[in-house]
Parts: sequence; C-alpha cells; structure tokens
Amino acid sequence: MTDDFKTQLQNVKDQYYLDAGGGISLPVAGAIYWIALAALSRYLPPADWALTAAALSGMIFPLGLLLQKPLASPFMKSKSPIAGVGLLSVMSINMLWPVHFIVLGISPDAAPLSLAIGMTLHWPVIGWTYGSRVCLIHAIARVAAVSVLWYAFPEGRFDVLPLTVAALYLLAAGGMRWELGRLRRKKGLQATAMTEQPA
Amino acid sequence: MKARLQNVKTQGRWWRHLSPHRPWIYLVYLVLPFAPWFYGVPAGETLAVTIVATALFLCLFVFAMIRRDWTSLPAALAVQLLGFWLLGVNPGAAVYLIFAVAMMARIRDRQWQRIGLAAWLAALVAGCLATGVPWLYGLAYLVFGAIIAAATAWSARSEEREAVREEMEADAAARAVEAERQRIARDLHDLLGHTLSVVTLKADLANRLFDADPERARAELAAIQQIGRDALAEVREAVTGLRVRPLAEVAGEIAGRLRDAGLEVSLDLPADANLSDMAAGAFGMVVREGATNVLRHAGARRVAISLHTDAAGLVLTLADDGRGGARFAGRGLDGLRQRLAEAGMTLHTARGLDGRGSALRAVWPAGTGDTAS
Repeated sequence: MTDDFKTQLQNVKDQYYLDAGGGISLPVAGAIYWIALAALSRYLPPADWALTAAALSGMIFPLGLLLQKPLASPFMKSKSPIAGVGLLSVMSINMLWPVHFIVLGISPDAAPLSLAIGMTLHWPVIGWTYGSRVCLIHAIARVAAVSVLWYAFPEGRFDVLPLTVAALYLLAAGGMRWELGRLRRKKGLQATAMTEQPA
Repeated sequence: MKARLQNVKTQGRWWRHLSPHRPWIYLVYLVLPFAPWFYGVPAGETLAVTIVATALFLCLFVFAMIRRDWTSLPAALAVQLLGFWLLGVNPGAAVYLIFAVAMMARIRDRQWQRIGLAAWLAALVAGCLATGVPWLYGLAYLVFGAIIAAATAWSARSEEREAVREEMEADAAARAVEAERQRIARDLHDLLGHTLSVVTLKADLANRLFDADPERARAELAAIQQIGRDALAEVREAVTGLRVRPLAEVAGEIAGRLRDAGLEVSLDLPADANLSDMAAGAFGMVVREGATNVLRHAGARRVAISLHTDAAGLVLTLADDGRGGARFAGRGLDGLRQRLAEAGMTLHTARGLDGRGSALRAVWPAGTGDTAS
C-alpha cells in the first residue's frame, strides 16, 4: 500500500467523519434504548424483558434519524464511498438474532449480556470508517464491563448492566464530539497553512 | 412496476432498498411472532395461525408500500386489527401494531397521512381497552409507534427530496449538454455565415476580374485562402470553446473584410476598453452577425462600429446607411437575441446612419465592471 493511497484513504475517512458529524445521534439513541430497558426491568420478568429488548432494538436507528438535527450529526446525508462498509457491519450484527433468540429462550438471564455484546460488534468497523479510536475503545470497554458485571453482579443484570451500557454510549458520544473538534481544528490549520504558503 | 424494478437492477442500486432508513429491511422483525418457537414448541394451531397472519400481513404491507395513498389507511388498520387479534396467543404479534403505524406514515398525501396516524392512535387505544392490554404495554406501543412514525415520515420525505434532486441534476446535465450543442451550432452559424458571405463576394469578384485584371483576381484568391484559414481556426475555437478573442481584434478583422467588399468602415473602439471574456465574446457575435446582414441584405456604402458607455451600460452599435429592415428580424437575429439574453444582454434595432439603413444596439448592463474606457 503506497503512502499516497494511505493519505488519500485517511482524507476520505476524515471527510466522512466531518460530514456525518460523527454520527453521534446513534450512540445517543442507543443510550436511550438501554435506559428504557433498565426502567422496564422494574416491571417485566426476565423472559418478557428479553422479548421486549429484542422488539425495542428496532427503535434505535429510527430514533437516531430523528436526533440527527438536534445533535448536528447528519450521518444519512454523507455520500462517502466508505459509508457502505458501516451499513454492511450493521447488517452483520443483525445476523446474530437467531443466536440471541436461543439465548433469550433458554436462558433469559443471559439476554442482557448477549444483546450488549452482540450489538457492539459493528463499533470497531464504524470506527475504522471514521478513523476514530473512540469507537474501538468503546467496543472493548463495553465487552469488558458487561462481562464483569454479568458474572460479578448477578442481581444487577437487568438494570445496572443496561445503565452501564447507556453510560458507555454517552461517553463514546462525548469522545467522538471531542475527536471531531480536534479534526476540525487540524483541517482548519491545514487550510491556513496552504493559503499562507510563499509564492 | 416491472420497468421500475428493472431500472433499479440495471442501475445496480437494489441494495439501497436494504438501507436502514427504508422500510423493507425492518421485515426482519417478522421473526418476532415466531420467537416462541426458538425456546418451546407452542401449539400447532398457533403456528398455523401465525403463518397465515404473516402471509396476510405481507400482502397488506407490500400493497401499502407500493400505493402510499389513502388505500394504505384501511390496509394499515387491517394489520393493526390482525395484531390485536393475535396478541392473545402470540405476544410477538405486537410487532404488527408498529408496522401499521409505519404504513400510515409512508402515505404521501400529508392530509391522509395525518388522518391515518390519528386513526392508528384511536385504534391503539380501542384495541388496548378491548383486549385488556396492561397500561405499560399500551404506553410502550404508543411511544415506540410515535418514534417509528416520525422517523418513517422523515425518511419518506428525505427519499422524495433525493428523487427530486436527482431528477433536477439529470435535467440540468441534459440542458447543459443541449445548451453546449446549441452554442456550437450558433457559433458555427455566426462564423461560417459571415465568412462564407465574404468568400462568396470575393470569389465573385475574382471571377469577374480573372481576364480583365489577373493580378487583382490573384490577390482576391489569396484573400479567400487566408479567410478560409482564419475561419478554420475560429471553428476549432468555437467547438472547443477555448479562446475568446478580444473585441478589437474581431472588429478589426470584420472591418477589413467589409472594406474589401467596398464599404467605408469607421471603427470607434476605445483602446483601453476593459471587457470581460463574456462581454467581448457577446459583442464579437453582434459584430459578426451585423456585418453578415450588411453584406447580404443592406446594400450599404458606409458602416460604423462603435463602443461607448451610457446610462444603460456598455453599448455596442453597428449601423449602416443601406436599405434598412433589420427590425424585421430573421433567424440569425433571433438566435443572436436569445444568446445575448442568456448573457444578460439586450439587443435593439433602430434606424442607421443619417436616418437611413439599420443599426444594431447591444447593451451590456451597467454595474458589471466592464467599461469602454
């Protein structure tokens, strides 16, 4: 891979990240979903909670669409050539549903762990398309946190675990906002340097 | 429908229909009514009813997604009814209630869309009361339904705007191609019309002088040769659109040809005129077309070409003392007027020199930065 191609690819990723506003409306929508699940755990037995979690997961993307404008993250507007990679990764995690349902049916207690990990697998890929380190860190931190919580804190599987995922989502959204700010400043400095070059 | 499908396939854009902001991909949630079979073996009757309900739902859903008009309303209400009917034996059937609101939200007409969503809400309340659904579930269906409705309506409007934008871009591209084609055609007409007129005159003169004055005839033939070379270069430039010649150069050349044709020509173009390429090109066209008409129709003895500034803006005038009649515009003047209008200029005809003949006045509006001096 030549240096030219690497630079070109990085520029495409940077532009995608900037155009999409980091797509932070989706992690915020994810946080809302997990907060709702934590709240519902007070009313629903594990089996019903599991089925509800499966059904409500369809709300995340539509909610992300609605939050685009308020959070200034127009991720659907970007026409980057690498946007399709993120779409394919989202399709991939949805192929886990047959496995999720088996878990939900045989062991509803494992539903929070299965869903929390299953719905984080696209984050490293999306992070690659953005050139974002925060996304990969979020995925690793989430898998580690939910695994520890599930084993070490069984009574908190249906409320503490979802709230932890929600908190990690919000941290990721903040981290991506920070990354975007840094990228904007870097692009701004580069543009200034180019216009100030001696003739 | 077939043509649309074929169009989508051949353009290789079928995968766009699986994008998360389109409705089709959410059909994966039809697995929810079948979820109980992942961890148990419910009654055979339940399975049969679920399969039939799913088939019926698919027919109604596809119908509503294609129609997207008021007929979607009864289809969506039927899906909602199906959901409530099946809810007692299969909790996964609640997904039909959400699909129903999406079907309402995709109705194109805003008024019918609002009626549909209101009908969905009313049917939800009535259904929950009739079937004894707990308030928490009812609230969840309402909140979830509202989010799906808003997002679906947004996606539908976004698709429509995208389709309009693509159509406008295609239209603009086609118009740009057509405009370029017409520009080339008009440039060729302007250049060749004038040039061939001059060539014809000179060839006629050379023919008459051939025996009486061979030297002069030879000179006319040499001039025809040079005009041919110049015209070839101008045609190449017109086709490639590469270079706009300065007005003084064009006017000087045209004046030379008019003089060769025996006319007395006065040129009044300020040497320090500051013209943009567009203005120079447009004025050049006026000089060519005006000179062609003088040679072909006017029967004039004198021609005056001038450029000055007045209240209207920058004005180029080409006037002769011939027969007149330029106000009865032919195709050449019509085409010229249209081209000048595209550049924001106006073309006027008037009486020519000494109240006789014709004058063409092309006005480049004031405030553009172009000046005569």
